[in-house]
Amino acid sequence: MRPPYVGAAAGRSLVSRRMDGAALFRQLAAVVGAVTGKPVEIEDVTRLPGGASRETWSFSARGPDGVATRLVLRRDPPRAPVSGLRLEADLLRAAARAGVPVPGVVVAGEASDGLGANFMIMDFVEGETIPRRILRDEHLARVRPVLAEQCGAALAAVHRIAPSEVPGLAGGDPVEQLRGLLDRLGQPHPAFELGLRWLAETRPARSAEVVVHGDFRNGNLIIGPDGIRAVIDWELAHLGDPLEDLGWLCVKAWRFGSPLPVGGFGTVEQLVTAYQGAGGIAVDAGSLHWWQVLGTLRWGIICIVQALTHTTGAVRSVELAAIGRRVCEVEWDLLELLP
Amino acid sequence: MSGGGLPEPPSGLGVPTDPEAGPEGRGWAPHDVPSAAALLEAVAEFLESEVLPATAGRVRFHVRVAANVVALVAREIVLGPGQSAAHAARLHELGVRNDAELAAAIRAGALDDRAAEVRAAVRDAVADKLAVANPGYLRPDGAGEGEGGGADRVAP
Repeated sequence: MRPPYVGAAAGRSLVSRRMDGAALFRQLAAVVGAVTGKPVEIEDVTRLPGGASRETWSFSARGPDGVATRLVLRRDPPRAPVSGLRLEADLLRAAARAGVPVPGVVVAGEASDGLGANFMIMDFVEGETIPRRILRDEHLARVRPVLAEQCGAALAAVHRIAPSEVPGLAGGDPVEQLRGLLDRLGQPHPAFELGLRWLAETRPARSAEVVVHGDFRNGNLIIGPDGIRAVIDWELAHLGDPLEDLGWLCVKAWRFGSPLPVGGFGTVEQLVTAYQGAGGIAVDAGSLHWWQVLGTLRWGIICIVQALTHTTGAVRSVELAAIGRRVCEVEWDLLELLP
Repeated sequence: MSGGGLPEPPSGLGVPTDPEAGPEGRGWAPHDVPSAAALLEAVAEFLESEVLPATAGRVRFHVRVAANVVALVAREIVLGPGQSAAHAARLHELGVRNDAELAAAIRAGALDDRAAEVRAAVRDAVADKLAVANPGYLRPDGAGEGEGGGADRVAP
């Protein structure tokens, strides 16, 4: 689902850290073969970029007819306390029924099914996910001007997902949740306190309660020359206000230096007009701004969580460590947004 | 050659810096040149000019992140002491001892009658953090270096 990117070295790490290679390939072959009903051979196992908490790998399954099918494996860390992957599989299936472009789910299973952790296998969707390439590559130049509109239509479809089809999604008050999470982290941030105060004092009425993707942005969209091919990374999905997804998509971190406010590729007017035209609720500009502020604060707190994931030793990573020093970028963005 | 079989020193030598002057004077006594910051700058240059072109994919991305981190620490060594003093003065002015007390005071509303001062102090502190973490961020074109990781991925 992400572009071919990493060579054999990363592929070996899957093997050496978890189990011997022959066993892994055999177990992947068994899992895929059981679904397709045919014996398959596993090839080209490649770790895809990103995925600090949940590993993502691409591989091919070659059947007896010699045809190779490209697939993607998502897998929880080996000792993940609770798997959201089964829920993510349910979400992908419900999203497809609601008309959201998503990868097809091949199979989802648990550690006991032979892959050493909770896992999900889905179809490989060809396209670009790296934000800077989406914003700059020549072969996507013609689709960039319509991406904000396509995001609006896709989000309207996301918000049509019936919550009853995905039992287990959490809800709750987003301001209290952010404040609670910040307190648990034990990292004081006066700028975030200013944001939390403003959010609590100016809170708009909740417009509706729907399934919110939770991380709908440039980086979690597979883009081809024809536009959005798939919305991926549903691990932060929850129940909430539909404007949360729209506000999140307007957060400055997803612009990557572009002046365009929506994902770096479009305008708020394009997003809102397409969203409403595709059946989304009427969007109030003041409420959208409030959700953009909340999204900015949420991204800042997520950055702290990622840095602490490194410092506590849960996952040692220079990438996660570095994110801690990006929190001040988000603090600056937040102060710029507050009146 | 300087004569006597000794190498000629490079041109461009300035006035020797005072080793007692701390990191802003480019070194902590008794350590020799290069200073800690200059050593980190050398590592960052090595990562960018030699390691980066020799790597691909995920490792290449992490090399870029690592080079940015090393350059960040070099800036913190140079700017940190002055920023710490300025921050302590800001906090003192607001009657708090540290960021935790300032955060708590903002939440409790204890500084609501000094909102403009609080806002300015918070803004100045964030600007100082940016001057170390990503000095390009405050330029009009926006995102600065932006390769510190994270914005390309959310996965708490």
